[in-house]
Amino acid sequence: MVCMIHIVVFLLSITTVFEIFPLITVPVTKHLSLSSFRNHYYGLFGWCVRGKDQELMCTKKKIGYDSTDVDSSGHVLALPSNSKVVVSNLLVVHPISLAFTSTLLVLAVIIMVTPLGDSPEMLLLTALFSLPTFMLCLLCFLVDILLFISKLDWPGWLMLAATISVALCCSMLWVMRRVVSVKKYESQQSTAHVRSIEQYPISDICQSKQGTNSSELESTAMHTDSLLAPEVSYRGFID
Amino acid sequence: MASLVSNNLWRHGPGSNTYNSCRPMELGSGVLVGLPFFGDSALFADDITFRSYCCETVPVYISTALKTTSPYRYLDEVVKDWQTFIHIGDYVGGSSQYAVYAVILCMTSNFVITVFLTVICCINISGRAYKRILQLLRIASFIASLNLTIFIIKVLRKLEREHNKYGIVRAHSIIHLFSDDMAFVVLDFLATLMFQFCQVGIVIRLFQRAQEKRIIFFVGVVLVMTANILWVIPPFSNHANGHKKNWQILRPFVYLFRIAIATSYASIVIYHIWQKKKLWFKFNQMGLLTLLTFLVLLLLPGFFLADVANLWISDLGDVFNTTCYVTSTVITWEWLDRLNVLERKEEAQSILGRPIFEEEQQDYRFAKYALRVQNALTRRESHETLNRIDTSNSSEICDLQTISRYDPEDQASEGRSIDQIHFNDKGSYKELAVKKLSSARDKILYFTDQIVQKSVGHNNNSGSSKNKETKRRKAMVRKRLGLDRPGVYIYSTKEVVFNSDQDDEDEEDDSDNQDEDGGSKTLTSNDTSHC
Repeated sequence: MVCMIHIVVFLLSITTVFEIFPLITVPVTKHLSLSSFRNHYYGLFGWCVRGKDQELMCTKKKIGYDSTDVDSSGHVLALPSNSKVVVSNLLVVHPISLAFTSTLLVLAVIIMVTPLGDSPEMLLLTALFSLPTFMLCLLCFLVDILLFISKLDWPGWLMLAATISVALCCSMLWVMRRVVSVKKYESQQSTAHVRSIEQYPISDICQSKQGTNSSELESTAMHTDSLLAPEVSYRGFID
Repeated sequence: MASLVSNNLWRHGPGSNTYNSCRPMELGSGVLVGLPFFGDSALFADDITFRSYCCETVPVYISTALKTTSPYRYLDEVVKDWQTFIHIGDYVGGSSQYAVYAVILCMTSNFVITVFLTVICCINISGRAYKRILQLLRIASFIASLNLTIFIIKVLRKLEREHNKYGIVRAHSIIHLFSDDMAFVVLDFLATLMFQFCQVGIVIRLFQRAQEKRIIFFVGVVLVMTANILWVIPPFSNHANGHKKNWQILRPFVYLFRIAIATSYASIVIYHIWQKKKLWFKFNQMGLLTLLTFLVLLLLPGFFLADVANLWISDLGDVFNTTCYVTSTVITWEWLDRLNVLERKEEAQSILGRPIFEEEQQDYRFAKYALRVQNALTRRESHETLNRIDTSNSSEICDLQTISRYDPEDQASEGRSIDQIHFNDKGSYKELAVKKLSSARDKILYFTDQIVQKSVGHNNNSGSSKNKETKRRKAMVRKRLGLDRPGVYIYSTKEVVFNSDQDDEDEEDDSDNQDEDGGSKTLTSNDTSHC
């Protein structure tokens, strides 16, 4: 159980890092891109083109590309998949997905470090929250594929790894919810069970076995705090 | 062309290539041969103007060609346009993927698969368990089959009409129908919606815990409703001209959303298939069916990738879409049915029966069930002994209602007898509000359970008995014992017949006294029932 939540936190940390990479693609940085195609470099907040002097010329930073943008040679922007440029507005799912994954990571950390981890309600909430996180992560990858098809660069392919990682975390959170629910039930049952048990010291049983018959033994009710060891009681009856 | 562009969800429409041979070309003077109405004679003309036979600015080519050894040759412009035509990959070009034969083959094969699975769904799949969802599945399959039947008839009639009128058969006139034919669009939408609900039902079947079933039901219904409401918005938004650009993004988003839902469904079922790997080869055809289920589950995400990669099926996705939904639902359903049979067999052979989960214990469900059965049996006995005449149904129903109202956890009923009269004692506003909220929550959960368990849960009605009276009595007994409830069922009822030692001795004594009267007395009715 402890191990599982550690794995979840570890996987979610990696996923968060994976999801940060698309956010720092061109034009935020000059070295990373979601896709590169015919001297064009596409990022989350814009796109760049490499001019004749090997220098990158980028658009303004905003979500979604503009269909009126032209490159250095005067050509209108074209996406690798022949998609309409307006579809690039769907890239907005990347920051939303990052926000969801970060929140899920915070929830997982809370479960790990606080006693809330033993609460089935908290785990249910986290597991439920992991569902839209997974969907958004998957949507990010699908949007990237739709826009850039196989021309994706490695920050784009990282979204596939992030999706698989979130799917694993999601499964583990649901398993943890089951485990905690069963544990809670078992602890309740064992507490109720212990309360209902009447305990007898072994010495009394031995003495009463020698002195009295079994019907009298049943009527004896002397409560003690310690539990009986099964082998001792067994030996007592053999005697 | 405008309708073609709006037809596509995210991709630019087919490019408007210019073909020079579609414009009149001045050829000068020459001899014309093989002209209509002139027979075999030739005709000399001064100013000859030639234009290719074109349809919507695209040349129409016949399926015969001149051999290279022929003394005649095509015009240079015609040869140039032909080269342009065959190098265009979309459906208005000359790509062989969009030849009319390939498109018709695609549609008819989808039609055959859909109808075949509809027949299987109606005949082969048992209707005893999961009755409501199965009914929905049958209706959805029937609508999908009907839709494709109507669509194929319309396509063939359109092709015939065009051939008679213009002498050509075009594939892209079929593509027009996908978006222009409102009957196809509406029926396809309805079928897809129903299939998605069936998929929610299938996922509910995979899980055994009541709370998980509830969560899946809520999440699944919300996802399906959201996807389908968003799907129908863009066609209506076309009327709002000012915001058309804003709505353009919605259609591809919902398309991706549907793919994401289908991928999630496939992931969940495949995970379940992996969990049940021990049962793959326990049945003759189970291995094959498992493989088939695995493949059809990946159809929808696979077709998305093929569509995006522009391999072949772009713009024909609607036909494949329906078939993908039919196959991924019906075949998975069949696989689950067979898996259930195998699991039931294993559970019946084991000592413990079906697994029991902690949540079933938490609400005293088994205690309630035992109490219900006990009360029903004792009351029946008392009814029979005290009041043999008055055995009306209303009293029994009243009893059952009284029992069902009795809740061990209910604080108000604690310490009270169910036969006493109580006056309403009003609590504080806070208690009242909490009570109202909890009752509202209980009602929502009750209706969810009713939907989940009655439609997706087991339905134990047997359709074999023709006698209505027997059927009614059986149903009454089942209801009294609580067997009409989901999750409670008898695995097997065996009648054990054996001769006891005492019977043998009696028999021996009897055989001494009576020569040929040695019938054995039987002790009967030993049953094994689990709940």
